[in-house]
Amino acid sequence: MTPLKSTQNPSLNALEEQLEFSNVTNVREKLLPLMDRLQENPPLRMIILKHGAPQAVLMSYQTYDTLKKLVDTLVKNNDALTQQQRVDAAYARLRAERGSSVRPAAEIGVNLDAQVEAAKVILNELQNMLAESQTKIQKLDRVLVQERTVAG
Amino acid sequence: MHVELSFDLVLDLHFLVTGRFPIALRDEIAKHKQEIYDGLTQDPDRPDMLSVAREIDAAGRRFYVLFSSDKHQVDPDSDARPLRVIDIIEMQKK
Repeated sequence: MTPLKSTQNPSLNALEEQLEFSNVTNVREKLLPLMDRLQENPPLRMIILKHGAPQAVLMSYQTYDTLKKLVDTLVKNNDALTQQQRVDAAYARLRAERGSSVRPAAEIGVNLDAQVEAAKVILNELQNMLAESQTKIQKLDRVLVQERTVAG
Repeated sequence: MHVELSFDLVLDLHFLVTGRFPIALRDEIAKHKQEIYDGLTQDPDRPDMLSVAREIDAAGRRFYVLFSSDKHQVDPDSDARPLRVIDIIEMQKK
């Protein structure tokens, strides 16, 4: 599990305050302890990586329920608008993005910090694979030496 | 030049959360983004915007889709051209 440090802009990255990364294998092995952690700390969210790319999010039910209410409110408010008001609001949101070099997090999935953390998880996996391979090579070397000794 | 397609936040909610619009519509829009971008004209009500509307069929349903491109968000040094989906209305299919 790799915790992500909180970023400078709280409004842009509100959903990334208590974010951790894990790969599928790790989540499969540690699902129950993870669920306990979510119960103890509902704001925690776990991005699950598959082949190093974000695929799913594990979150507490309280968080999901709150997000659901938020979405319901947004949708109801938007549905109450006339078509012209809806279009004007969409244009206002588009204009608000001017001059911003940082695209909204929702558009790109995760921000640069998150991508760096994802890269660290992949690097960690590669290091583990390398260590396993080295162990196997050492075992094979030992077997080879024994066979040569017997043959000699 | 490549067209960078994006959706208004509320539309993203309807695609990805409420399911009001089918994902097939998103795919259909993405498939035709270049020709849609090429069809943009000056928006008569908004001097800072180019816009165009299209009727698009997806998942056996018909939708009226309004597209826009903000002139202030075009970076002349970049190859990317922004195209935003502003509004979608489901129509009665004839």
